[in-house]
Amino acid sequence: MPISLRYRNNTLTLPPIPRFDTVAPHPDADSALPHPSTTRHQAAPRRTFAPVLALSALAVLTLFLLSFLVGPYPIPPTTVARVFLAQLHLAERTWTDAVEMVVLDVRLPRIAAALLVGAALACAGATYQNLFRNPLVSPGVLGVSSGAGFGAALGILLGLPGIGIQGLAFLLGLAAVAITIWLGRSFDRHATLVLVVAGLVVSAFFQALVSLTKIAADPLNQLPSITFWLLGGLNRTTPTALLTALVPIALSGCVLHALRWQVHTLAAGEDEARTLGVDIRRTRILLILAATLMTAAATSLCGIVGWVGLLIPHIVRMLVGPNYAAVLPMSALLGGGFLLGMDNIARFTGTFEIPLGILTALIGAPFFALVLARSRRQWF
Amino acid sequence: MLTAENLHFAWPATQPLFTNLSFTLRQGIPLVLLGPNGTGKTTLLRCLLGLERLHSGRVMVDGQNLATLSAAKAARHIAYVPQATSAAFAFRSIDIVLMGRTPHLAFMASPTSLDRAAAEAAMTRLAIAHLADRPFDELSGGERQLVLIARALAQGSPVLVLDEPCASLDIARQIHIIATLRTLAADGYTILMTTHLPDHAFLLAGEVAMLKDGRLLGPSPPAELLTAESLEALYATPIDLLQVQSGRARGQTLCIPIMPC
Repeated sequence: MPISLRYRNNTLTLPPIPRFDTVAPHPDADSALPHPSTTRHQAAPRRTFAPVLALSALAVLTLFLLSFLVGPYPIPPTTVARVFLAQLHLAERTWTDAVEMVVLDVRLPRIAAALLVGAALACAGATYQNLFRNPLVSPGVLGVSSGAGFGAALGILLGLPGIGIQGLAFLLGLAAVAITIWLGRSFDRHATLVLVVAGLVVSAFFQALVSLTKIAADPLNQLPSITFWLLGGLNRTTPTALLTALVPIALSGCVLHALRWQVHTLAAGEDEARTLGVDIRRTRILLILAATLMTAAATSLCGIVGWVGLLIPHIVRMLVGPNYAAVLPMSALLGGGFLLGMDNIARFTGTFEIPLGILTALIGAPFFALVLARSRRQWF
Repeated sequence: MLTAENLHFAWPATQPLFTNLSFTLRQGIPLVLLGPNGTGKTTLLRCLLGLERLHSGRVMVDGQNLATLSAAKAARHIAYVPQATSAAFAFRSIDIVLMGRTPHLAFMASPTSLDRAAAEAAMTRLAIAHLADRPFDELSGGERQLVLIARALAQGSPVLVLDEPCASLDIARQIHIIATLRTLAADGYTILMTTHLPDHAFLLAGEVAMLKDGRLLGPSPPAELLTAESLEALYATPIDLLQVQSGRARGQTLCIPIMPC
C-alpha cells in the first residue's frame, strides 16, 4: 500500500523528503545529538519481542515437562518420557496401567487445563485493561466471575453432574455480562467507563445470590462443594471438561489477536481512537464478547481464580512494553506458566490440596505489590 | 477545504450552544478560533470531528459529508490533535505516532514496514525523529504536542484540527508550535486551532474567527477583525493592542489586557 502523506494537491507515494530548512530546531533538541536528518534516513529497525517470547516459551515448556513429576504418586522422569514415547510407538511398555492412567488421564488434562485457564485469564485481563484504559481492571470487571459462581452454586444445589455444573456456570457468567451491558447502555449508550459501574452492580447482585444458595444448601455435602468450587481448583478436570473450555477460549484468542491493532489504538482513549479511524462500537462489542467468552469458559472449568488476569499483564508490560500485539501472546504464555506453577504447588502439598484461588492470591498479591513498587509509574 | 454549513448544536435540555453557524476553512490559510472559556470552542471542534451529534447542519470535507462516512474514511479526511495529556500506558513516541496509520489499515490488519516508514517520516518532518524510542510520558509538554502533531501527519489527512496546541507550554515552545503550523499551512495543510492568546492569530498569519454566545465572527484577516474594541467585547475586559515599533519583533502586534485598579 502506498504511503499517502499529502502535500498541496499531490499525494506522494513515498515518504516525503524532510524539509528541515523550514522548521526551526526544537528548543528541547540536545545539541550534543547529531541532527536528526543525518541520523535517520530510513525506518528504524522494528523493535521485536521475539527473543523474550522464545525464552518464555522455553521456560513454560520446561515447566510443562517437569509438572508431570509432581503429585502424590511418584513416577520417575524416564518413565514419564517413555509413556509419551509409547503413544508414538517408540517405546516398549514396561509399566502398570495405573502409571499410564496417572500420566495420561490425570496429570495431562490437569496440566493442560492450568495452561489454558491461566492463558485465558491473563489475555482477558490485558484486553479489559486496554479497553478501559485502566491497569487495575481484572477479567471479572463486568461480572462474569460472580455470574459463573452463582451458576456453579446453583448447579451443585440442583445436584447436576460435573458437566452440567460447568455448563450452568458458563451460561450464567455470560448472562451476568449481558445484564451489565444492558444496564450500561441504559445509563449511557456511548461511554465505556459506565460499564465498570454496571459491572460492580451486577457482581454485587450475583454475589448475594451465591450467598443465598449457600444458605439453602445442605451443609454436609453441598455447602463444602460450593465453597471449594468458589475457591477454585483444577482437581475436577476431566478431558471432556477441558475440551469443552478449549473451543471458546481458542476462538476468542483468535479474535483478540486479529483485532490487536484496533486494541492498541483504543489505548489513546475512545474519542481520540475514533478520530484515528477506529470503529468504536464494533471493536468494543467484539472485545467484550471475546474476553467474556474466555473468562466464562476458564472460570467454569476451574472455579474462581483471581490475580492472574491482573498481575500477569503488568509483568508482561515490564518485559515487552505496552503494545498489545506483544502483550497478548506474552500474557497467554506467562499466564499459563504462572497458573501451572501455582497448581503444581497445590498438588505438591500432598493429601490436602490448597485451593488454587487461595494460592494465586497468597502469592499473587505480594508479587503485585512488588511489581507496582518496581514499575514506578504514575497511573492516575 | 472544509465547510461547516448551518451547524446547530445543543446539550440536552439547555439553550443551543450555537445555531446556524457556518464558515469555510481554506487550504493553506490557517484559522485561529478565539473565544472565552466555556463558549463552546472545544464542542465546535468535536462537532467538526464527528464526536458530537449535530441537531442540524453538516460538515463537508472535499465535497463529502463527514457524517455519512465511516470512522476510518472520516479519519482520512480530518485529523485531530488533542491537548497533550499522558497516555494510560508507557508507550514509546513511535507507538503513538503509528496509531495515525490506523485509518489506512484493514479492520484486522497491523502496520507494515511502510506504515512504520510513514510514521518515521512524519516525526522527521517535525525534526523529532530522535524522540521515536523515548517514552511518551517522559517527554516535555512541547515534545508531546509535536508527537501528537506527527501522529496527525502520519494519518495523511489534509485537514488538521488542533485543540489549544499551545496550552500550558512555555513561550519558546509556543512559538515553535506556531512556526511549525505555519510551515505545515504553507505546505498545503488545512489548519484550524483554538487558543486563548490572540497574539497567536497575528503570528500564524492566517485568518481568525471569534466565537461568543453561539455566534461566529469571521473568518477574517487578524488585522481586520482583531481590534481593541472587538477583543474587549469578546472577553468583556479592557484590552489594548500594541504594535512593536523597533527591534527584532518590529511589526508584531501584541494584545495586552488592562489591569483593573
